[in-house]
Amino acid sequence: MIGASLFIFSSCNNGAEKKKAKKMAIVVSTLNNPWFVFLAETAAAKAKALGYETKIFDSQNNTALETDHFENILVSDFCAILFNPTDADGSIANVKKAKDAGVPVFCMDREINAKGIATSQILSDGYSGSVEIAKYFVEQMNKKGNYVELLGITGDNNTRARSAGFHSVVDNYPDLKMVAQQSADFDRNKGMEVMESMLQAHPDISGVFCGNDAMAMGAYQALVGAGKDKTVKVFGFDGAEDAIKSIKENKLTATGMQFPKIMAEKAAEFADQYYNGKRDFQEKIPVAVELVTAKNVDNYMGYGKK
Amino acid sequence: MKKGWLKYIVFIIVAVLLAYNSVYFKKLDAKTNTTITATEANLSPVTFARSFWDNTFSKAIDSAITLESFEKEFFEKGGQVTIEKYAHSQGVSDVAYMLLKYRGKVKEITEDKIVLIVADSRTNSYVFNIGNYFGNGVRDATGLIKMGDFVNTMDYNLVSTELNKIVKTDVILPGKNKIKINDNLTIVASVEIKNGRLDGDLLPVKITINN
Repeated sequence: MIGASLFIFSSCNNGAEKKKAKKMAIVVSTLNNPWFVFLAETAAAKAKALGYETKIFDSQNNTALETDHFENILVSDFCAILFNPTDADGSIANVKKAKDAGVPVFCMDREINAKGIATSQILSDGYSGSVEIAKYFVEQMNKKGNYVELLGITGDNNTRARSAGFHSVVDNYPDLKMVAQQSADFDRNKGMEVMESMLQAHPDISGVFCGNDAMAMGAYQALVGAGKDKTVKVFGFDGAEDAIKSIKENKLTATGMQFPKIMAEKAAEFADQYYNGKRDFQEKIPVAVELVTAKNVDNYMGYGKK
Repeated sequence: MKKGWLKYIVFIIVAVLLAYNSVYFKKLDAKTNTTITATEANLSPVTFARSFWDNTFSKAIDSAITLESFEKEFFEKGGQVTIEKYAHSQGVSDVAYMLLKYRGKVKEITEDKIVLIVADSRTNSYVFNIGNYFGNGVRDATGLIKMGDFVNTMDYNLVSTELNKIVKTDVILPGKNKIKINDNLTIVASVEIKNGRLDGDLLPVKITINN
């Protein structure tokens, strides 16, 4: 009987440690935004360079679809998941399922609000990045004037971090007045629509802070349509290719450069190290966001430094 | 009958084996030497920041290296090695922070800055920020607070904001009212180091008037 019990234990251990196929799954919140396309493709390219097969899954900002992806992945012998979560709370259960199935998850850019479940989370330091943008915003606005804010997806941690970082600075200047704040879901078209309606209600603004570059580009289009693109300063966040080009052309005033290449490549490298036996990973790693303005834009290109 | 006893003995051994280590007792004070993280203690960022400032950061301030010693080591052993020894950065970043102790005479004081003449330094004067400060100099200067200590990064960021508020209320505002030109001061500051250069913001975290 003792022998039988020991046999059962040792069989379980062997099962848990069974080497999986060299296949990595890359699950991203959306492929409807070039920034996330770049993140997914960079992760896939790095994994391939390390000798893995890859497959990219698009969650379309829908946690139910994300759950379906995880269920398919967990029965398809993938050895790791490089993951850009759709929802900081809503995605926790999916990561937990993967952990229970012995598949490590490496979060990229966006976090899940949990400890001890993801193997590592490589995250953009959006709060500190927004602090830098806000300091420049205050300087460019000469510490006074009306402005509006376009928020990302409500409930997303990046939306909160970017807005909170921005306000931790700007709210110290009483002559800078936020006259409207609305979500445009990180989407360019919605950014334009929201900006158009904001301009009708508040034609006297001189600044716009947007939670990402897609919304900033949409807001800029709306300002061009209203003939206000020369008087209203637009600030974005991401470091997308069109935003960098727009800063060079004096259309956008500034953005925060995130480094999706660093995050995606590090996630793939970590997954490879895990496959080869490493288990002690730093659980959360912030990646700094840098301020890009007309002064230093020549040092940058879309999604990174030259 | 013998077989029956044997069965019970085997059953007890298996039960003991299975139960071993699944229940154990630990002294309640066993964790006193470990760092209490915000998550473990379930503290709000405001409470965590105050507790860190009162219990941990104050000790780090007292053991900050003096500018003279730092400069000596910097030029004898090399800049990069010395910065890596004393400064701390979080994750992937070109920015690091460290604590340094300056001694000198006040040349100028305004709403936003103190200019200190430091006799024992290769740089003659240093400008300390006593206006608005929005960096992570207090949170990151000791390297003791990590992002991974927090369930979500918002709390980690709010801790930084709260620590900056404590510096303003406990150090900067009381100091501003007392300091005069020609006062002899000892200032411990959080120094921002960007790309290996020590020319970033200097935020005083302790000011002592030595007159």
